[in-house]
Amino acid sequence: MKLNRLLSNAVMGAALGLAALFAADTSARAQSGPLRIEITEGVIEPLPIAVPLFLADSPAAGQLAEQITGVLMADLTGTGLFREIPRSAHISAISSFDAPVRYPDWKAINAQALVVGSVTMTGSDNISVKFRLFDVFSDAPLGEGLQFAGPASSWRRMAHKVADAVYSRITGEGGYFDSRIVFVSESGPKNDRAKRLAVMDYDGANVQYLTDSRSIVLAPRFSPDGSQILYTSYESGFPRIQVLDVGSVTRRALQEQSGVMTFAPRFGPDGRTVIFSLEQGGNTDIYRMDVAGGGAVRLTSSPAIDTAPSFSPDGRQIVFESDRSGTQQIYVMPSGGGEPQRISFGRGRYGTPVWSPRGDYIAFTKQNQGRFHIGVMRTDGSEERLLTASFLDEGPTWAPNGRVLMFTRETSGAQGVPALYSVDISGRNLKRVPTPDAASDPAWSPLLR
Amino acid sequence: MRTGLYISGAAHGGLILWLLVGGTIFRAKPPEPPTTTEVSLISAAEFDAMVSSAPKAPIDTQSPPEAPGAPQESAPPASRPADAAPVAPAPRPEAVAEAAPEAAPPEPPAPPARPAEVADAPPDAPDAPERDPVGATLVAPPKAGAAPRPAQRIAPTPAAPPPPGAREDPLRQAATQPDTQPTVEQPLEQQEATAPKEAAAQTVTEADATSEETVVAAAPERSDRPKARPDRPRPAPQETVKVEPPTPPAPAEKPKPEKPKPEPPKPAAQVAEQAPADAAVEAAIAAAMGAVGDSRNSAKTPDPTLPVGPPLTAGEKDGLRFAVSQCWNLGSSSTEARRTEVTVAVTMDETGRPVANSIRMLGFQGGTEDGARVAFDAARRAILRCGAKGFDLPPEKYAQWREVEMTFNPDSMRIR
Repeated sequence: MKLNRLLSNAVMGAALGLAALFAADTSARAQSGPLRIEITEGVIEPLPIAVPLFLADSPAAGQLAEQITGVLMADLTGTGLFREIPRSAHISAISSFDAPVRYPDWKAINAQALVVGSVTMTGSDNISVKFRLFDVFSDAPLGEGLQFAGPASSWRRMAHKVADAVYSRITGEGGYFDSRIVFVSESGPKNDRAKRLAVMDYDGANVQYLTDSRSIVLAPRFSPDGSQILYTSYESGFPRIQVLDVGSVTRRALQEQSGVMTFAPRFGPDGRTVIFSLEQGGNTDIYRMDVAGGGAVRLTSSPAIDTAPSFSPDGRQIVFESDRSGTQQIYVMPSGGGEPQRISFGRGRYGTPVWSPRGDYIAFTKQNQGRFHIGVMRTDGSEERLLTASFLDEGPTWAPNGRVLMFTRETSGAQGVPALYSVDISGRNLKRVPTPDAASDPAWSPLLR
Repeated sequence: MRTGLYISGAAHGGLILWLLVGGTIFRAKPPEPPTTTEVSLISAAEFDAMVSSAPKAPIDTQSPPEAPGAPQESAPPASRPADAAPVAPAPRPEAVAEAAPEAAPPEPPAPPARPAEVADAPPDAPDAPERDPVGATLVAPPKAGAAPRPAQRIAPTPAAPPPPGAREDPLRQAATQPDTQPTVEQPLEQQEATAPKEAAAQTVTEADATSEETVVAAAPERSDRPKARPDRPRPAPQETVKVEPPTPPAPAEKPKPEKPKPEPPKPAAQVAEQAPADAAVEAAIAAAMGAVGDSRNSAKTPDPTLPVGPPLTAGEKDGLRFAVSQCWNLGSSSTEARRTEVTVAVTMDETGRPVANSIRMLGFQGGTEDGARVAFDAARRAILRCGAKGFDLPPEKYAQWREVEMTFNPDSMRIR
């Protein structure tokens, strides 16, 4: 009896144990958790975005709403990262700024982002622009709504600000639309070209001239806060660095020293320091001085031509070009001077290095086998990538977000003229920046405030 | 009295037996040996000889070739005019008093550094001064679109432009029309022409493109993977007024998948003996399950009431992977996001549609939180867009794909 029970218990236990083990093993083989997959390939294409006409509370506001919507869409599609879904394809009509969004209607036309906005007159000459951004396939707003207020005459800046916010939220990069460009506007035949400084919005609108055309001007550069511009002027016959106050359009020479030439200036990240090239006795070296005045401190001392210096964003290093190795190459040195380290080793000649505002890349001009290129490389010289190729491309300048470059492209021949072009750092979206006349030497401002 | 001991002994015996024998019976099939190909080694001299005799490649990836047919009269300038060291100066003229800009320069532009908000208007653009007569000396800018633009879409597999009128579809198929005189037995159904979206295999930079302006292609000389870089300085927050979000619309009525009702557990056997024995058996089973199961997935054990079916095949997994990758668009993602790998969890309903509010980020690697947010947004859009009609997954294996973890690895999608 006892033996039977014992046997029975043993058999039952063994059966249960084996059953449990079998079940566990089957489950483990089938799947012991969520299905896991890895996606390693995707696509790169512009994001479809819908921007219905901003709502307006009056006919005057209606006109502005149309203009603001147009500039907003031009900003976004001009990056090459967005594709407009034409209004004729919209199914839903936006009747009220606060009305719930009918997501299925926007999904149906494959809009992945939606911008809804309105323009309101808040006084005789003031307007208020507000907008919301929606992630259509998530059925949710993307960030909070924003509102900008200001005079109606500044509607373009408001449109750029809205575009900056939309761009920033979707891409994760900072915007660059509400910024300006200072450049050299050129007119006349090639052998007698008049040059003067001009500023404009990043997209070529609102051109204004800062100097006359009686003397040659070169290489303007914005200060970090955008309130001043350094440039080289031949007004005295010698190249001489001038400091121009943008607000009052007054200028002064940075350094009055007879017999020397100063050129290629650039502000330090603090806005108080200037680095530039100084030629004396046939030798060109890099100097540093306070923008308010004072003595210049020599940073390089070689018999070679050292020029085109540019600070790193943290102000600790300076990149410049030099032919000390026999050909024009790019070097990096501590901002206080010291032994430079060469970082360009490719074929050809490298010049006009500019440190990205993000600090991750250095843009440069490269000349090789009769062609000019705009390129970027890491700050240690690795990962060199050429973005353009043409008869003459030169003088890159970074957008405030460090993802777009603008430069001068000149066509060949006696009839050749310079023009401004922009390209993103992937080498895509190359396009001409409209200017009223021929243009060269662009310098991008920081984002306006 | 010692029943529990016996049962425990039997269970442990079974476990030992399993460990000894089960591995042999249930061992996973060893992976098939990789395909190998016989190769032979050649010396450097032989290689050089082979290369020299081979036809020359049209593009030199190290350096762009000489521009063909460059106009003689317009040789490229030897040095840049802007920053190059200037030539010896002309005799210095007498100092000239600083002159005001000629012709009453335009109204001075407002300083860009203005206080926050847009309230500060930039100066109005003055009337554009008379342009200097340039006449025919200026050449019109190069016409955009003179050369065909490269495909806007970069995809793993390059695709030719779809024929006009074709609907977008990963599968390319020709249109068919119903036969004007269909046979009685088998009338043809009308089929819409479909084709995948035009795509290129990789980014074409302007330096690589060939056009009238860019005669010679200049391929990137190096394209290594980016290394870690310094953190991007965060832009100063702009002074803005927050707008209250609208009342969210009532969520659309979504068909809720009918979950199969759990059936009452059936007793495996009639155990005449006492409760302590049951407890011991359950403990043994739990111990066995715990030992065999993956500790990482212990909380994600499939619901035993759902259809499990046989394991998902590699083809079924690949189908899901391919479907999601078709909608994973990194075109508008930041460079930071393109170096961030995110792992996303999603719950599917029985029709293969992702449950929107179930999508969540489990973790990320290789980037900052900002980059991860953008990468997650792109991943979520991919899942929701391509899953809108339901992924093609076998319903009989629902328990296996109800919970999915997708790792979006953008390594191969970085700037090339």
